[in-house]
Amino acid sequence: MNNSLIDGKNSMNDITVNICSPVINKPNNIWWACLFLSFLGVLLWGYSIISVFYYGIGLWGLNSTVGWAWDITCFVWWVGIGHAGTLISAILLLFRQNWRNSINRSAEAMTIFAVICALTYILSHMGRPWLFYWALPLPNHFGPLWVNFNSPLVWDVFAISTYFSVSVLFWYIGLIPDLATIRDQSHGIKKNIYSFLSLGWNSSVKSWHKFESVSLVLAGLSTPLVISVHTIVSCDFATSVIPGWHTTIFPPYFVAGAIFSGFAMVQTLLIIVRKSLNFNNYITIRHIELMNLVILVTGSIVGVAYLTELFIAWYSVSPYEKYVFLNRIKGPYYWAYWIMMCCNVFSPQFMWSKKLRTNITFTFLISIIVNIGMWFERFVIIVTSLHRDYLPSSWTMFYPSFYEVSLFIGSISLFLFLFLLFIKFLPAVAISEVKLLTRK
Amino acid sequence: MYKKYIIALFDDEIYLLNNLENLVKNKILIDNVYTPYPIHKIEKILNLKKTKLPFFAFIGGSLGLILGFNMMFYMTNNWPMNIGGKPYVPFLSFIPICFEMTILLSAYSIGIMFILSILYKKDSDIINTRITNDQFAIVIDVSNHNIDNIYMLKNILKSNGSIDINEKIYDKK
Repeated sequence: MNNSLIDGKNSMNDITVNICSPVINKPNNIWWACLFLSFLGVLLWGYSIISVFYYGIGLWGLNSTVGWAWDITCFVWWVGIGHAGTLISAILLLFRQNWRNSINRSAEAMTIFAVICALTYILSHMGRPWLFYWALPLPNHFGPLWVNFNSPLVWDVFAISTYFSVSVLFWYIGLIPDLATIRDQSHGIKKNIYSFLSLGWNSSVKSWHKFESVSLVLAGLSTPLVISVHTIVSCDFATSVIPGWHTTIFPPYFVAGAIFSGFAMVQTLLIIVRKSLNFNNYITIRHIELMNLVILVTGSIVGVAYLTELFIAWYSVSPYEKYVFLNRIKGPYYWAYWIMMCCNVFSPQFMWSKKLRTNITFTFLISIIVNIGMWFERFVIIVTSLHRDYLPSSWTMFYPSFYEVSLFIGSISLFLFLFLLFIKFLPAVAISEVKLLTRK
Repeated sequence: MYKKYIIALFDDEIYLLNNLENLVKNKILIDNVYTPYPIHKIEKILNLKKTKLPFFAFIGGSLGLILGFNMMFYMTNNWPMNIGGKPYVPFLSFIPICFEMTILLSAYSIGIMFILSILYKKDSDIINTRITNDQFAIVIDVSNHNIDNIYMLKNILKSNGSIDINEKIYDKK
C-alpha cells in the first residue's frame, strides 16, 4: 500500500492547476445536480423554519415533560461535527502533523457550515427568534436586569459565538495565500474578485513569516477553544439535576464524542470531494487511514465513557440514576440505545484491521454509521432522561412531528448546499501547504 | 527618488537558497524574496527580525480578560440575584466567559493586525503571477551599483540557476 501523503509525481504547477481547476473552470453536471437536490432540501428547510418562526415551537412534538428533544439533539450533533475542522487545523498544527495539510481546508469549511446549522437550531429553539438578543448581556427595558452568569446556557452563547468567529478568522487567514494563487490563475471579473479577497497577498518572505506566526498563535488559541466549546455544551446537561445528565464525566465524554463524529463527517465529505474533484493524489489512502485511527481511538473513548456511566449509575446506589440507565437499555427507547451502542462502540472497532481501514467504501459506510450513531447518542441522552423523570405521573413519550424531521433533513441539505458552493468557489485543498509536502 | 531592482526568478528552492546565501555573504542588498510556500531557512539567511504580531494577541487577550471580568462583576453587582443560594457575585462562574472573551479578543487582535500588515501593499506588483504558483524570486536593490556591477551580478545569478532576470525601476517615496 502506498503510505505517502501525496500520490503521483506532481510538479508545483500541476498542484496549482489541479486544485484551482474546480474554481476556475465551469462546474460539471454532477455538481449542478447535487446543488439542485440540496437546494430542494434548503427550500424544505426554509418552509419549516418559517412555519416554526410564525406559529411557534408548538409545531414540534415537545410536551411539558420532554421540553428538549429533537432540536437540542440536532444542535449538539451539529456542534459536535463542527469540532473536527478546528481540531485538524489547530491541534494537528501544534503537533506538527503534516497529514493535516491536504484535509484542513475542507474540514475547516465543514466546521463553519456545521456551526451555522447548529445556530439555526438555537434560533428556532428560542421560540421567539427575533428576541435572540435577550441571551446577550445587553442593557434592557427591564431596568438593569442582566443575564444569569451562573447558567451554562449563557456560557454557551459566548462559547459558540467565539468559536464561530475565531474559526471563520482562522479559515479566512489560511485561505489568503490560496486566494492569491487563484487571483494569479484567473482572468477578468474573477481575477478582480479574488484580487480583492486575497487582500493584496504578495507571497514575500516577510508576509509568509507573519502568516506562519499568526497561524501558530491562532492554533494555540483555538486548541483550548475547541475543547472549551463542547465542555460548555456538556455543562448545559451536567449542571442540571436530571438523572443521566448530572455527571462529571460529561465534559471529556462530549469532547471525545465531538471529535469522533466530526472526523466521521470529515471522512464522508472528503471521500466525496476526493472522488468528485479527482483529488486522489492529494487526499490519499494514508489520510483516510490516519483519520480512521482517530475515529477508532475516540470511538473507544466514547465506548469506555458509556460503560463508565453504567458502572457509576450502579455504584452510585441512587435509584433514579439506576432507573434512567435501565430505562435506556430496556425501556421504550431501547432501540435508540442499541443503535447508539452498535454504531458508536462496535462499528469503529473494525478499524483495527488495516485492510478495512484502508478500504474507501468501507470507510465511507462506517463514517455514515458513526454519524447516525452520534445523533442517536444525543437523542438517548436528552429524550430518555427527560421522558421518565422523578414523577411517574408525568411520564410520557416523545414523537417527532413533520416539522422536526423536515428541519433536520433541511439542515443537512443546507450544510451540503454551503459545502457545494465552497468547493466551487474556494480551493478545497490548501495549495501552498500541499506544495510543502512535495519538498525534497 | 528612483530605485533600481533586479528580479531573479528560480524554479527550484535549492537554487534560490544557494544564491541567497551567496548574495548575503557578499553583502548585496536584498530587497525581498518571494516564494510559493513558506521557507524558514530564508528568514535565517536574511536574519529577519521576528514579527511583533504575537504581542497584539497578548494585548488583545489581556484586554478581553479584563473586559469580560469587569463586565460580569459590574452586572452581577448591579442587580444581585439569588440563584440557588449561590454568591451574588459568583467568581467561579465567571471563568468560562472570561476565557472565551480572552480568546476572542486575542484572536481578533492578531488577525486584524495581520490583515492590516499585508493589506494591498504597494510593492505587490513587483512580482509576476508565477510566484504564487511554482517560481521563486529574489529582488535585489541595485540602486547603488554601477552598470558593470549589475551586469556581473546578472551573469552570476544566471550561471547559478536563475531562469529569468528582469530589471525594474521604481519611483519610491
